[in-house]
Amino acid sequence: MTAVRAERLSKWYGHVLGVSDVTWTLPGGVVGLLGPNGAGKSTLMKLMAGLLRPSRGAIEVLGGDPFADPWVRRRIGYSPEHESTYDELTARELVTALAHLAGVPRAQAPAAAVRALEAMGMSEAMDRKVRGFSKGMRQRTKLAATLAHDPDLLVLDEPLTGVDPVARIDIIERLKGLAAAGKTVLVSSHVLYEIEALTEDIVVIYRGQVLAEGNIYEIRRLIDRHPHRIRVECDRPREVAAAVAGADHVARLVMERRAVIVETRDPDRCYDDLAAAIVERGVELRAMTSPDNNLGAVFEYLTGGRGGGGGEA
Amino acid sequence: MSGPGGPGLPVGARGPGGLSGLAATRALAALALVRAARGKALWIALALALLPVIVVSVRVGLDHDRADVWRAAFELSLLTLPIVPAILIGPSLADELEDRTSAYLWSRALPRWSIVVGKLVGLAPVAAVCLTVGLATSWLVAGGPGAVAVADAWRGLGALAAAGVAASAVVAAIATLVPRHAVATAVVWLLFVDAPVGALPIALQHGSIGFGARAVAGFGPDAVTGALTLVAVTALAVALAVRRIARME
Repeated sequence: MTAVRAERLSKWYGHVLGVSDVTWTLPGGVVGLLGPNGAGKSTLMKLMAGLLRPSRGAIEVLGGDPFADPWVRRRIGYSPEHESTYDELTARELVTALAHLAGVPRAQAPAAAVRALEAMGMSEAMDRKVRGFSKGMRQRTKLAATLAHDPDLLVLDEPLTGVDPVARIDIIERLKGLAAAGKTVLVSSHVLYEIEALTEDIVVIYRGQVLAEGNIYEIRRLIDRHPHRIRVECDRPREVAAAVAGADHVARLVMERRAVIVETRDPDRCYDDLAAAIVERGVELRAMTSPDNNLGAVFEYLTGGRGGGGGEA
Repeated sequence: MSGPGGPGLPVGARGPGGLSGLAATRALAALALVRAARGKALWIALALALLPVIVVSVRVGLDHDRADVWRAAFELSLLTLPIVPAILIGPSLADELEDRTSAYLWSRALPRWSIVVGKLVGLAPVAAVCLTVGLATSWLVAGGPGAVAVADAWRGLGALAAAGVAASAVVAAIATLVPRHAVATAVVWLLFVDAPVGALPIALQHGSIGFGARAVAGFGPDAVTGALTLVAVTALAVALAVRRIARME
C-alpha cells in the first residue's frame, strides 16, 4: 500500500499559501523532505498527520483520511518541529501518556514508553522532568513519543534541529534502524547534509510546491556551488573560529556575541572540523544550526527565480 | 532489542485500535490533573478561594449577625468564582493551543471532543473543590452549625460547586475562542458580564451563573430554575468549546 498519496493538494492560511496543488505519492522507505524555511514542509507534514484539513484536493495516508479518521492516525507517528512538550512531566510519564492516547492499552503503555525511550538512548534520563532537558534530549523524547505506539509511518518534522553533532549521528543511526525494520520514514530538514546522512531519496519542496524528487546527489552538486553557513552557538566562539579559520574550505567567519557563523564550500569537512575543534577544546556547545539563506538561494536558482505563493513556517 | 517494528520498538505495544472517547477523556483528565498538581496554579487558586475567609474573620470579630456573615461569605465566594476556574482551566487549554503542544493530541487516535471534556473532567472538580474549601472554611469561622444550619451550608456549598463547574465550562469555551488571552477574557466575562447580568432584575439574569448559584443556595427565588440555569450554561459552553476544537487547525 502507498503510504501517502496527495492529489492536487492545497492548503491556505487565509491568504497565505502553505501547500499549492501538490500531486505526489510516498511509496515507502526513508524519504527526506527538503526545502528552506517557509517552503511548506511543515504544512505538508501536518496534513499527513491529520492536524490540518486540505483547503483543496485530497490526501490519503495509509489508505484513509488522516484528519477525519482516528484509526489512520493510530498508524502515524508525528513529531512536530517545535520543542514544546509537557515540561512538568518526566520523560517516562510524557511518553507513557502519549502512547496511551495513541491507542496503546493503558496497562501496556508504561512498558511501551520505556522501550521507546531506551531505543532513543534515554534510559538514564527517563525519570527526569522534561523541563531540564537539552534540545537533543527533547528531540529524543519527542521521537520516543512518536515511536511508542509502533506506527507504520513516521512523519518527523526537523528532528535534528538544534541537536549537537554527536546526538545527531546517534539519532540518524536510530532512524536508519527503524527504516531497516520496514517503517516508512519521512524526515524534513532545510539542511541537505542532515538528509544526506539518512537517505538518498529526497523530495524537494519550495514555495508550497514539490519541485523535484529522486536522488540526492544531483541536488547536492548544485548546492555545493553555493557557500553553506553553519552557526555555532557556544561559550567560546572565538576559539572555535580560530580553530577553523585556516581551513581552505572556510570562506568567511562572522562573529556574534555568543556564536560564530562559518561560511564554507565543503560542509562535510567543515562539520568534521568544527566537531573536532569543539571536542578537543572542551567547548560547551549550545546549538549548531544551519541558517537556510543559502539553501533558499539555491532553490531560487533551481526554480529559475519563478515565484510561487507565500510561505509558512 | 528488536521487535516487529524495528530495533528498539516495543514488541506488541500497538493496541487494538484508537482510543474510545471515554478512555481518551479519562486519560486526558488524569494528565491535566497531574500537570495542575505540579504547577503553581492549583495553589494560587486555593489561596484565592480562601481570601473571603479573611473578610469573614473580620466581620465575626466585629460581632456581625452570623446569618449576614454567611450570606456575605457566599457573595464573596462568588467574587472568586471568575478567577479560580480561569487560572486552573484557562491555561490548561489555552497553553496547549498557544504553545502548540496540541499537535501531540491532534495527531493521536482520539476524538477531539475528548480534549475539552477530558480537561474539564480533570480540572472542573478541582476548581469546585477549591471554591467549596474556601466557603466551608468561612462557614466554620462564622460559627459552623451554631451560626448556619448544616443543611443550609451544604446547599450553599453545592451551589458554589455547581457554579464552579459551570464557570469552568465557560472558561473552556473562551480558551478555545481566544487562547492568547484566555484567562483575562474569562475573568472579564465572568466578572463584568455574567455577574452584573445575574444581579439585574430582568429575565436575562436566568443566563447568569451568579443568578443560578444564588438561587440554588437559597438566596434566590427558585432553586430549580437556578439549577437549570447552571446546567444550561454548562451544556452550552461545553458544546461551544467542543465545536470550536473540532474545527480547529
